Amino acid sequence: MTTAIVTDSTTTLPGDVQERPDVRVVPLTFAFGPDETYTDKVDLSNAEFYEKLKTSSRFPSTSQPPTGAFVEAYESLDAYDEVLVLTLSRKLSGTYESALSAAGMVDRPVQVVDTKSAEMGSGLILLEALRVADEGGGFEDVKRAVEGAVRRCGMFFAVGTLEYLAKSGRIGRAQRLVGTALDIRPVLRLEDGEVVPHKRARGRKRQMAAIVDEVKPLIESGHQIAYGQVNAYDALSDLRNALGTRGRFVAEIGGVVGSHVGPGAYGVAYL
Amino acid sequence: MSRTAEGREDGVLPTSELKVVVGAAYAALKARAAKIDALNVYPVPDGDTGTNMLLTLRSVMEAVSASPDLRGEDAARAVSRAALMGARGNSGVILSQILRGACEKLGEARSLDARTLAEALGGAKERAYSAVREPVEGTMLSVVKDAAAAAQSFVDGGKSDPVEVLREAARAAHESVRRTPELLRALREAGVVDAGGYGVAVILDGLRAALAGEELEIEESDEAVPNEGLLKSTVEHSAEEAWGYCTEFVVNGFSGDADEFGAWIHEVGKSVLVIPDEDLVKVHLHTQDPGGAISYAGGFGRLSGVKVEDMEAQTKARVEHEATAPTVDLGVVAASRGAGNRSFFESMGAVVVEGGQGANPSTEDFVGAVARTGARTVILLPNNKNVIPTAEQVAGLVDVEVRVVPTRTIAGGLAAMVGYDAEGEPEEVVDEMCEIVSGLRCGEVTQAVREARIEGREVPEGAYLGLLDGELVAVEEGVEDAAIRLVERMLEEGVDVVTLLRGYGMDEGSARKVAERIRSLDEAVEVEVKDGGQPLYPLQMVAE
Repeated sequence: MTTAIVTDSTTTLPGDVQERPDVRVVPLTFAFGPDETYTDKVDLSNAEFYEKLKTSSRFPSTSQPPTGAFVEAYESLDAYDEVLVLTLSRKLSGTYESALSAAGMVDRPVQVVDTKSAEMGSGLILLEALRVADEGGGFEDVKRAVEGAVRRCGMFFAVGTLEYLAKSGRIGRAQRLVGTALDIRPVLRLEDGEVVPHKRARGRKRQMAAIVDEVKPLIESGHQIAYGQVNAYDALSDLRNALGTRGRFVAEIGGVVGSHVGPGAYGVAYL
Repeated sequence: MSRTAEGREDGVLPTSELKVVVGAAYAALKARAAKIDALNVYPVPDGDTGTNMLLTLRSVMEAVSASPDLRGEDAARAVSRAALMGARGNSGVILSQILRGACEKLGEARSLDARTLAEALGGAKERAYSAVREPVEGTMLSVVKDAAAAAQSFVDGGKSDPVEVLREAARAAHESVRRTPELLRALREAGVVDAGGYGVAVILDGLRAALAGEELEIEESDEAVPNEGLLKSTVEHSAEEAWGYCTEFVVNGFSGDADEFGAWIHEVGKSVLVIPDEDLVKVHLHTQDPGGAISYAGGFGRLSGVKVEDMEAQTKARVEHEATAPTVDLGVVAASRGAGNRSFFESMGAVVVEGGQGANPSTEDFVGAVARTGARTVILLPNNKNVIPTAEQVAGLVDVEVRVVPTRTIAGGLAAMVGYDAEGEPEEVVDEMCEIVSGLRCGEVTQAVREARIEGREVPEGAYLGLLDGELVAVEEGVEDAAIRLVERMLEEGVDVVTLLRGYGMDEGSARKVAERIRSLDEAVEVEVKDGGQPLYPLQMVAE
C-alpha cells in the first residue's frame, strides 16, 4: 500500500520535499485587485511580495484553490494506492472544503485532514507524515501519525500590527486586542486552528521574551520546532539565538499567509 | 450649658444631637480647610487634604440630617458608613476610620461621660493605625494618638468633666501638630506642619465647643499656618439632596468682591462649599443651572477643574444598578482625569470615575462605578497615590469581589490596562496587571505653585518639576527640559517603550519635540505620544 500526500501551498515544504514524486502541492492565490492575481510562492519572490504590500494602495485578498485543482492533483497521483490530503486550518480558509468536495469527485480513496495550522506548523506535520511513510508505514499508520501530530502541534507568533489580521477577518478571538489605546506588540497562538491572543506585550523585546518563555521549556522537553518569518530577518535571528537552536527549518512565509499576518511577523511552531 | 449632663438610657447618640456635634466639627474644619489645603509638602497643585477631610465630614452631616431618629449603635453605624462613603484621599480615609473607631465605642456606651470620650478617642486611634499598613509618625496618626493618650491620662487622674477631657485632647492634639515637623523631615524642609494632623486638632476644637454649648473661636495657635483672617462660616443643617447638577470648579486668579461672590453662589445653590485659597477659590454647589453659575464665576477669574454631574440621573442610575445582579465575570473601574484619558480607558473596557490629582474621587464614586461594570469581579485602578486608600475601602462595601491594582499615575493605569482581558480568568488577569505595574517607571511633569525647598533643592515658583515615581528628579525652567531630564533618568534604567500623555498647557508640537529628543537619546526606544488632556500635569509618562 503506497501513500501520496497532497497539500496546499500554505504548507512550508522544507528542503527537498518539493522534489518528491509522492508529494503534490495545490496553490492558493492572492490578489491586489481584480486584475492582479498571483499564485502563492510561485509568481512573486518574497521580496517582491513585501514591496507590493508596502506600495500597493489595495489590501491583498486571498483565494482558496478551485475544487478542480484538487481533482487534478488527486488524479495525477494514480501511481499510488491512497491519497492523504493535508490542508491549512479550515477556520482560516475554505481550502479544506474545496479539497473535501474534490475527494468526492474522484474514483479513488482520498482522505482529507485539517492540520489546524499553516506554514511551519503544517510543514512539521507533513514531515511527520513522510517520516512514517518512509519507514514503511501503511496508509493507516501515516494517517494516525498525522492526526496525532495535529493534536500536538502548536504555534506562537508575533505580529508587527494587528491591522492585517483584522482586515482579512482571520483575527479570531484576537479581535479583543484591537483598539488598545497604547501601542501593543501582540503575541498570538493557534488554538484548535484559530488565532487567539496569547499576550499583549509592550515593546518588541517583551514580545519576543513572551515567545521565548513559552517555547524554551518545549525545546527542553524534546519537542521539535520550526521557525517562520515575514520580512522579519533580524527579529528571527534574535529569536533563534535566544532559543539556542536552529530548528528543523525556517519558513519563508508566502503571500497568502503573509497577507493575513502582515510584514514584520515571525513565529515558531512546535511538534 | 453642657449637653452631656444627663445620661441617656436609650443610647447616647441620638442623631438629632449628633447633627449639632458633627455640624460643629464640620464648621471648625470648614473654616480651616483652605489653610489645610495649603499645608502641602510638595508645591504641586494637589493640596486638597482640607477639602478631602471636609467632604468626608460633609457626608456624615448629610447622613445624620437624613435620619434624625437613629440612636446608639444604629447611629454609630450610620456615621461610620457615611464617613467611609464620603472618604476622599488618604486623609479622608484615615478620618473615616477615626470616626468609625470613635463611633464603635460611643455606640456601645450608656452615657457620654468623660471615660466614654477617652475610650472613643482610644478607639479612633486604634482604627486609624490599623487602616494604614505602614504607620508613619508625624502625621494625623500621631496627632490622634497623642490626643487619645492625653484624654486617657486626664481621666485616669480623676477628672470627670467631659468638656474638659475634650479640651485636654484638643490641646494635646495642637501640641502634637506642632511637633510633626520634628518627626517628619519632609515637613521640616517644607516649613509646614502636617495638614491632616492639623485637621484632626481643628475637629477636636469644634467638638469641644459643641459639647460645651459654646460658639467656636478658632485659635490662631500655629505659626506654621499662614496668617489669614478668620473665615466665618455657619453650620449647614440641610441634607444634601439628589437635586439638580453637582457643579464644581476652581476660579484661578480670583479678583472681585469675595463676599458678593459667595453670597451669589449660596443664593443659587444648595450644599454650597466656597473655599478661598490665596488667589483661587474652590467652589462646589448643587444647582439647577450649572451654566449660569459657571458663567457668573468666569467673571471673577480663569476657571479650571469644571465638573458638572446630573445628580438626579446618578441617583436614578444607582437605584437601577442596585436592582440588577452582576452579569459578566470581570470589569475594571479606573479613576481618571481628562477627556483623552477617559476615552482611552473606556475604549479598553473600563468604567471611568472622574477624579484624581487635585480632585480625589470618593469611596461612593467607586461603589457606584463598580455597580455600573455589572461584573462579579471588579479591578480598581486608582491611578493616583492619594486615591489608593479610597479604592482599598471599596471591597468592604460591595457584594462583588474587588481587587485593587495599585497604579499611581494615569499613564501607569493605561499601561496596566494592556494586561486587562475581560474574558480572562480574573485571578490571572489581576496577576498580569500587577506584574505590569511592578515593572513600570512613571514620570510626571508639573509646575510648582509656590517657592519651596525640597530634598535640599531650591524650587522657584513656576518652575517645572519632574517627578519619577514620586521622587523629585528635575527642576527646570521649561517643561521640555524637565521632561527630558526625567526621561534621561528612565533611560539609565534601561527601558524599551515610553508613552507620553500630553495634558494641561502642553501643545502637540512640544510633546512631539520631547518624543524626538527621546528617540535621539536612544534610537532603540519606542516612543508614542497620546493626547490625555489631564489637568495640572502638562506631561505624564510611563516607561517599561
